Amino acid sequence: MFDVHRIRHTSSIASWVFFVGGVGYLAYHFVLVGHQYARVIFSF
Amino acid sequence: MCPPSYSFSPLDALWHHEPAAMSILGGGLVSLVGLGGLLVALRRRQQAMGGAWSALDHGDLPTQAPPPLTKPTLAAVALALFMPVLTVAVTMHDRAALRACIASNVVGEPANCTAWGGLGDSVGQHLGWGMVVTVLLLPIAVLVMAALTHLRWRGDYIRALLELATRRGPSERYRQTAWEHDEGALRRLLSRRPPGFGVAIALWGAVGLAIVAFGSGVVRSLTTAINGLNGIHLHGNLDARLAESASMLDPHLIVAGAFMGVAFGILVAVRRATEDWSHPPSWRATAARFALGTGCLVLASPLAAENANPVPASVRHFNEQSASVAYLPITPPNLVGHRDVPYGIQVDIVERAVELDGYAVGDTVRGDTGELEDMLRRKRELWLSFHPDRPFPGTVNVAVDGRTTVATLRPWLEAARRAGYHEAIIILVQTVPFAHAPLGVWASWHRLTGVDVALGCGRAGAKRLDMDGDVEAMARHALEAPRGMACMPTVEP
Repeated sequence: MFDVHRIRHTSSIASWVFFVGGVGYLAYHFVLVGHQYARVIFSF
Repeated sequence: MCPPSYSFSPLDALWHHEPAAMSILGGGLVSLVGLGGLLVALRRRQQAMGGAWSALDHGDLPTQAPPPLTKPTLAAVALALFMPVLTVAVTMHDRAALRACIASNVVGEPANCTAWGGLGDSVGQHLGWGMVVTVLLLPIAVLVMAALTHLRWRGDYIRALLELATRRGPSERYRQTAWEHDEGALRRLLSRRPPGFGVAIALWGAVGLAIVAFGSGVVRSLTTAINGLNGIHLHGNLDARLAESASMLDPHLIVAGAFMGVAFGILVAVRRATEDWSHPPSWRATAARFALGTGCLVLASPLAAENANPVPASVRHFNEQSASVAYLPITPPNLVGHRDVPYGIQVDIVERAVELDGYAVGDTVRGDTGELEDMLRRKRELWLSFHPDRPFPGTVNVAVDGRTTVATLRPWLEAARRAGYHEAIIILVQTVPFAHAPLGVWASWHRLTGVDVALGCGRAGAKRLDMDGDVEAMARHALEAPRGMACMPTVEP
């Protein structure tokens, strides 16, 4: 009834998407915060 | 109002056995021990790898597989990570304590608040010692962890190679998978060598930077939240800047969304094209990726709160002029609404309790306003006895939250009017989550809206606040009128 292999492949791809999305989201906010702090520290 | 005096000296803090300084020093020692253990483990693994990799480079199969990572090595990793984690934790506590100390002394006598100065100080004025230690330890930790990871990748690769090359015939386990033809599998494996040392360094460098960024983000969002609780708002009017950044049409979000969409598309396409469909992927790896993705979202939460509350350009000027430990100068409550609230007689309605300058004087359910009226009258008489030749200001601050109804509030304002007060400043306290924060409830601040309301509508043209409903609606209504031109009708005797 359930194609276990297909479920595992699909969830694997979904987990890659979630993982890369999470890392990207973190990186995006990290860059924004870094920009803010760099502006304060180096006065530009 | 003089600012409180406070000092910043790590050596003084150590001398006086400041707990934060002592624990960070101890944490540094623990981390050094962990790093030492890691170096030993690294050397051993390098020896264990022996000539396996060079044999591979010469086209020969290695004869012996290197051992996998051992538990002592993992323990050493945990010890080495102890210092940055502890620095973040202690700094959070330290900054919160310092803020609370300064906040409690904004009014009144100057007080001595000392701080050790950890991670949070790196931004703003001082390069905190915790930051210095972390910055020194970070490259070492990154190099060691990268070397370990690099060796692990190579070890795993050699083990897989040997397992394939040395087993005889397809076993039951392998028959379930695509690894039925040794030669094809070996060729595939050989064509995919593990990533090099540079990739490992990049990976661990990103992890280390994320830890530091997370620390700074947590410290700042926590102190902002604490300041909100204390009625202290940092760097100007938060409300205006929140309004700017709260829009869903924020260009940052649109650009980020576009990039993420393209990245997702490429990722899915590559993954589907390269997936070996006869060989099911490990469910453990799938679960780990989901967990790591969730962890990233959680880590990004304080950063998102931070970005929703950006540091204004004017902040940089404070670097030169201020010698304070505080990241930014403390200003009196900066309110939305008619005006800043002066320090004065303060009535708080907190759920059921009614408090006058912090002392319980009544209960909104019982509605016994006599004690409040009596106390307010005594305060008025006391003030008049000190200033017999001046008119009584007659203003009382009344702090309520958005859930309070006008019907609940009205008898207490009536009591104030009977006690000789002619004006109330209604301070509406609302808890507002930071925009953009995925876990927004984690980080919120208190918005205070100050509204001048005359007690009694004797003045011509004043706007009468005789509606029912909650105080929030009343405040909105009152703010439509000019300052001093909103009034609460009273039951005249």
